[in-house]
Amino acid sequence: MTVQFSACAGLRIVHLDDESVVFHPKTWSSHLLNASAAAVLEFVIERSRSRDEIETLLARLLDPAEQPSLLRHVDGVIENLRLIDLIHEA
Amino acid sequence: MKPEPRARIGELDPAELRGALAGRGLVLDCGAARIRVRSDVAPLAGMLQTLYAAYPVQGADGVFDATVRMHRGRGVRRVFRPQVELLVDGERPFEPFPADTPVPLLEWGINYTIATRLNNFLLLHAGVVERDGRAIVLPALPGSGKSTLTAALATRGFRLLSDEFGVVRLADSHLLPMLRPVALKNESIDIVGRWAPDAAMGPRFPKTRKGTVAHLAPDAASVDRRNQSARPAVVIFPRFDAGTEFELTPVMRSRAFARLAVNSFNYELLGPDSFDALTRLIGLSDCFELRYRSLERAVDELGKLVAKSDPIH
Repeated sequence: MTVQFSACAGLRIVHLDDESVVFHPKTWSSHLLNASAAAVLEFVIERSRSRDEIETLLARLLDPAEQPSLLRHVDGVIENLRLIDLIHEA
Repeated sequence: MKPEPRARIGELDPAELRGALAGRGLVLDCGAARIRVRSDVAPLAGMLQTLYAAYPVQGADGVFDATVRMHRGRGVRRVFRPQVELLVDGERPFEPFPADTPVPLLEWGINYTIATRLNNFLLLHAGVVERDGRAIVLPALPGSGKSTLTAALATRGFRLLSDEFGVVRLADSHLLPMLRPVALKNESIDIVGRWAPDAAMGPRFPKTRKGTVAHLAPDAASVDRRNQSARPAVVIFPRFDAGTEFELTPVMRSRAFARLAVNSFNYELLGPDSFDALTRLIGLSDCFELRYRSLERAVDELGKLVAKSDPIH
């Protein structure tokens, strides 16, 4: 079965210029997310997503010059969002 | 003929002021906080009368955010290398200071009290000034020249709200005054002295742990408006740089948010309330980094910036 990622409940997200700041209601931590991480988080908040769906999203958002590093980028964004407890495996 | 009631601390008879300090206390109404001061340290009275001259005389009964008491050292420390000690509601936050540095001890003690207690507001480590209803927030690390710039703005037509605390009201992110004397250190004392030769400055205290310290007294106009809030309009991260005449660089609001949150006394403590208040403040503000060596140019340009800033985004 494909792994799905979900966002933690109750996150507060505010867009500031091209980035976002997020407040986690359980940990009371605040985080600054760049454009990629913010897009993935909002994508996952809509509903649970697979890694492939996240990769498709980021492929649309990245510049052509960044496409060769897409796979590493996807893994990096997912892992970083997991580390700060904003998303988890559903 | 009955004498007019004395409105300001600077108008009190010095003996009466000493008596108030030694007795029921002297009230310092700073706007967002009211502090009662009691002391048997005789020289302190005259110094406070200079630094808080424009503040209103208020009754020393009632509810205060803190009562601070400064007294002379006990026993041998009353005579040999005499000291002064500060208590805040009965607790001693610092080790005693030499007896010839009462004002730095008092001011730092009040700062400590505010920073640790006033958690009904979000407290940023920042200077704040205002003109035409628009506030400039000046967050900065120590030594960056924040107080010098704040003092310069405050003596050129800006209302002073604070040189140490950006007091953010949680409900609407407006800035509230925490109006106290501006603490100047080392070279900045002479810089501000030349910049504003008519401004009231207290005595110099050499050999403090921050070097030589002196304080600039708030002007009467700022004191009279100490209960008026100001809408945030501009956030400036200042840094004195001898190699740069004047350079103002936009800062992404997201990055400004992070820098303000890290530079706050109680951001983490207030959790969601501080997140909401700070994001709202940032959303209302244009954010910049300032490098400057010309105080004249910095004050002039920041005046223009505030004049054209639109706080409604």
